[in-house]
Amino acid sequence: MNATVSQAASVASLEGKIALITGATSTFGIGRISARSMAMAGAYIFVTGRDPAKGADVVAEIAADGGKAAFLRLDVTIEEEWAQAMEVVRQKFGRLDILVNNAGNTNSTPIEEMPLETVWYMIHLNIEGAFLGQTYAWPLLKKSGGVILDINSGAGQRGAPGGTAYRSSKGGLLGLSRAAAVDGRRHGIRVISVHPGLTWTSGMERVRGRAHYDRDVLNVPLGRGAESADVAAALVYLASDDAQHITGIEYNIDGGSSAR
Amino acid sequence: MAKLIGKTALILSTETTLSRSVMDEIEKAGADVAILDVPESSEVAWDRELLSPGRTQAGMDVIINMCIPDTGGAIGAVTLADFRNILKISYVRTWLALKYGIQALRASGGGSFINITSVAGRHGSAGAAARCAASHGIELMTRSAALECAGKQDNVRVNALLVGDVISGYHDTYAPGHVSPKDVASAVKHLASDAAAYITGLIMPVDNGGGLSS
Repeated sequence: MNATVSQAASVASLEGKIALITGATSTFGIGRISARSMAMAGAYIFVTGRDPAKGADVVAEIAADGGKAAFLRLDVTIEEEWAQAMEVVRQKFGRLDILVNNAGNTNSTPIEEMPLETVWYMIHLNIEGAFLGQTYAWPLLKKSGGVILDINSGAGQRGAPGGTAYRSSKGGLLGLSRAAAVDGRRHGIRVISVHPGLTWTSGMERVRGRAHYDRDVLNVPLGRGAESADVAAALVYLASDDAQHITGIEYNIDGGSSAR
Repeated sequence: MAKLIGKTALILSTETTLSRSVMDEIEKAGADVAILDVPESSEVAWDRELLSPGRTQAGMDVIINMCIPDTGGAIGAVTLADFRNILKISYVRTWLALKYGIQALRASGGGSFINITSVAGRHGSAGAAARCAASHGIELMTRSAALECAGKQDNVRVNALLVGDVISGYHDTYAPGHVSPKDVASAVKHLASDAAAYITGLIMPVDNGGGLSS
């Protein structure tokens, strides 16, 4: 059985915490489901993404659950938008407790067919997006001894054919997360690299499709895929005070895939 | 936040501050929990303790195996007998706990098995060759057991916590590598719950960033 949103929300209390989640507007992506779960666990959520209409939907959904949230337009690859978003957070609360660097994209083109542009695109989105988040959130996280949850992937821990742009960018993100964990230690900022395995999300539906996904499931030791709520449950725990001395680790939610 | 309601849990350990803390935390979350010390290293003893009719009837949802090995001491100063004894009471004991514990969980329709060992095997540590060998061995044993259970789709999950130095009592701050019993207990609680249903084969350091270079 996969976890549900209400199960994820009951993992730990996030009462009084302020969170910002990137890439949180996809219909059933990890970002949106985590935003709902964290809000139900008591956190105030800055739902961010590129599409204000979709963002408004997520905020309304959270409000309907009895939670608190606001939408901020944020393309994670644009530095000015990070500066603006963090200025809004600073003016409203003066601090940030939880940053979830979730926005990202995937690719599986063989190297001989891959244009250099794709390599740069993956760097801009998957590595620099998180780097900018860490950089601009840092002063606000320092005030609260906050936590950064970098959403990586099993793909960031293992190579595979077609991975020279996507997997390498996730590998780069893992290095960034580890370094930030070291830097964060003296400020009380925790940094955790989160590695979901095969997860049925809006992005998965768009990029891979159900037929591919169903075939990929056969390679998961547990014999089934994750739902976004399985990842959200882990994020609620890792963001909470229950995990106050957990930092610098790789956290796999993958049905045993990384055990091999 | 209670979320282990209706679950039966067993802690395989002697009475220690850490096992007591884990017991309190999961009891608070609603579980029915007991501590069991199986001092013997024979299959007969473990079969008797974990698969007795009484035990099986009561059901078993969570097994927490405390297996933090002794350091042993510096190579050259440790005899084979002492080295082997450390392996016996941590590594081999964990194998026995897995063998019979997994069967007990399977008999009640599945559950969560959590090994608690030392983070020492991740980085190497002077004067602790036995601890490093045993705990790193337990890490790979955990991953293998997780894959065996996943392959059977028997609803049994197997994970391990790699703990740093567990410091008892109240402290304002914790140095890198130092954690409280509550930190370990909270991680156990999370992995024991149904919210962690997709997590198996996870090797999770609970070490306050102790493994990071400075």
